[in-house]
Amino acid sequence: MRKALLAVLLLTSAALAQLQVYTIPASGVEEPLSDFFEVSETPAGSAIDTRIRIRNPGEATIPVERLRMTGQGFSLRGHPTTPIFAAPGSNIDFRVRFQPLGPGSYSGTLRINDSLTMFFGSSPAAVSVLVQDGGAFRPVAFEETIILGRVEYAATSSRRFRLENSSRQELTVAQLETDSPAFILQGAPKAPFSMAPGVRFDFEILYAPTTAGIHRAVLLVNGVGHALEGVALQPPFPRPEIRLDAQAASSGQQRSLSVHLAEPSPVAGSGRIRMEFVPALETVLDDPAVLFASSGARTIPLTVEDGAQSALLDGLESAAFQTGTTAGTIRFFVELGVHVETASLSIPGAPVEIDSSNRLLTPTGIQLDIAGFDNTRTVSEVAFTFFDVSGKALTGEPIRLDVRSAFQEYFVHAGLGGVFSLRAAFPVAGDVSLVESAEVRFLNTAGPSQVRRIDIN
Amino acid sequence: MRALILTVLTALCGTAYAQPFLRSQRAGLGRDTVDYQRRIAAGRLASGSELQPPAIGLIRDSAGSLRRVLGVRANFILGGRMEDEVEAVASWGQTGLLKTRAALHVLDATGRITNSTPAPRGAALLGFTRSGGPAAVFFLETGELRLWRRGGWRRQPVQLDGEVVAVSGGAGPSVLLVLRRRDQYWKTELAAGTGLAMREEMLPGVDLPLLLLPDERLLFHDGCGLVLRRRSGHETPVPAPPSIAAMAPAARGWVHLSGTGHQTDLMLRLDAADLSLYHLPKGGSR
Repeated sequence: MRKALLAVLLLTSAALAQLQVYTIPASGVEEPLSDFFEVSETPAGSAIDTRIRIRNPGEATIPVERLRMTGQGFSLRGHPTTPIFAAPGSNIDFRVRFQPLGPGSYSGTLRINDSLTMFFGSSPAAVSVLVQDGGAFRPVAFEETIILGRVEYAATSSRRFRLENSSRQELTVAQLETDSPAFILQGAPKAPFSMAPGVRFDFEILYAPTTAGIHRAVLLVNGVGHALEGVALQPPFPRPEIRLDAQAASSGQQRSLSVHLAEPSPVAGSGRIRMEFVPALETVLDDPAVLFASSGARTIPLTVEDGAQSALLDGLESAAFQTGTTAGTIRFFVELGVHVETASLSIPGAPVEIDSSNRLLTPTGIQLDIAGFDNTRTVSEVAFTFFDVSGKALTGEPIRLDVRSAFQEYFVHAGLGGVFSLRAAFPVAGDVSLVESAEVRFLNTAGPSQVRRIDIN
Repeated sequence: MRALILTVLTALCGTAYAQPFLRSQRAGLGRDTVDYQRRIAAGRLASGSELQPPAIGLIRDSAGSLRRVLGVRANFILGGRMEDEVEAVASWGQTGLLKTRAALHVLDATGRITNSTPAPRGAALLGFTRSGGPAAVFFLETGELRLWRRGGWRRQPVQLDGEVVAVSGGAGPSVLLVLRRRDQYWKTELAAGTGLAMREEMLPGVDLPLLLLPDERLLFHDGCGLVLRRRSGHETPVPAPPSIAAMAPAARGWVHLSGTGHQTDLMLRLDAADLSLYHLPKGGSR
């Protein structure tokens, strides 16, 4: 046991000798770390980091059991927790931070296992930057981000700062500025200026954002930066309201809608209007003709100008849309800022509507073309009545045709809503010129359609 | 009147739909019923019927593509692109005329090409007969006039005193042109074959854009807005936006209006009893 312990100690001792320690300056070229190291002069309120690298150039793993930094103003950053085992050829990187609390000379000791390196630093006399917090001023901490508030972007907020010369000598403030126009110095003298010992003065930084979002800036005092941050919130848009034109809703319409705001908008912005269609028929999934004309789709952009009380829909004051040819409900959603307002339009089932008709006389008869739509998709019957020149019905009773299954099959495959074009040919034995006209009427679950009279001769 | 027995055979949807009619006729009177049955049997074989999506017509979209317009009024569905680099298209009745970069096509009602011929580059004015057949085409860049005769295009030599801005089929073997001379517009009827002017009339108060329809109705801008002038001279204002720059017949009774402004793709319905304007939705992908 004693032999084994001795072997470990010998191994450790030998291994320590094999660890190499470097600094890595800004150039990136490693430099061996000697017993003494002097960091650059650093003003109070800022800090400087020295990159350190431990390397194991040997062929055996070496434990690092102690890795410490002592001394006021010095600390380790990004260092591993010991013990750590440095594998052959591997590096362990970390930083030594020098962060003076005030003017003066500083020293510290970096310990790696049993190896010691002295660090020296100094801080010149410098003005201190303080920020008001809860009614009192306190020094701005290193890497502290000073929050200037959350405001609506057209509004402002401010925070009070103080510059203080707590040294025994006169100091020059060569730089006092922010790097963003959203953060405005107020009440500060224009740099360069001198500050006698013990002098202090207060100033404000006004946060005045012109756009919404998170804004960041740096307060620069003699080259030392202090992070500033403000959040500008989009002011709420007034509640939008969808207004539909006053027509009674039915299929086969082109209608329009507009969007009005409850009050003039305090802000310009954009949103959108979208529409959804829910068919009344379980067997029908959609109607592709339900759309906005300007986009040929179910969404259009919406913009609101500053001070406007109505929105522009795809650039216009109103937006045209089609109601399609299927019974159901069209739902509209206006999305503006946090608002999502809805409106709906119920399209009731209705008798078949005949849009157009045409007749063609052929050598053997009459061909009728009838275009229309059935928004219930339940056409069951179509009736034709032919009339002679004296107005007398030629066939007595109307010719009633059971078209239920043909239409059902057509609607399933057409996928264009309730529109249809029906071509019916009627062979005629006799003088076609004596057929004056025809009347057509469809029947669906909503009732009979209006009679369409078609002139034939 | 008895001779006027209409064989009321429904050709609708095939023979299956003739059955109700058969039954209704059998329940009718004796001799006529027999007569009907005989004719119905013959009619069944002759009849044809179909259900299909309603096709309104053809248009050239803002990207220069040929598209079918499906649906009914106020409920349009734009079909997919059928042809690109279209320089002119018009449709009337059962016929469409399509001018591409290097060819002139005649289309049937389904958009199928039934006749093609090489054509000079550039836009063309397309004209139809009153019954909806191809009538004439005028190639704007070359000043060439072709007339449709016996199933094909024939070049018509012509001496024109003015700039041709519209063309249409005339009554009988003639062609109608609208010519611009300085700031005045004239409707000139040329005899097919000779190309000589048969009659000419001035069109007062007319400006571009201008469209001469096959039934000689004139759609034009009068300086204030679009106007439809019938042959009788009666005028009806068309409530179209002022940015309309082009007009083309899209189908019998339909004119496609287009412009460079916002939402200026419109369909104008020109029924005898109806003059209505509708938005044409932007192109879909069907």
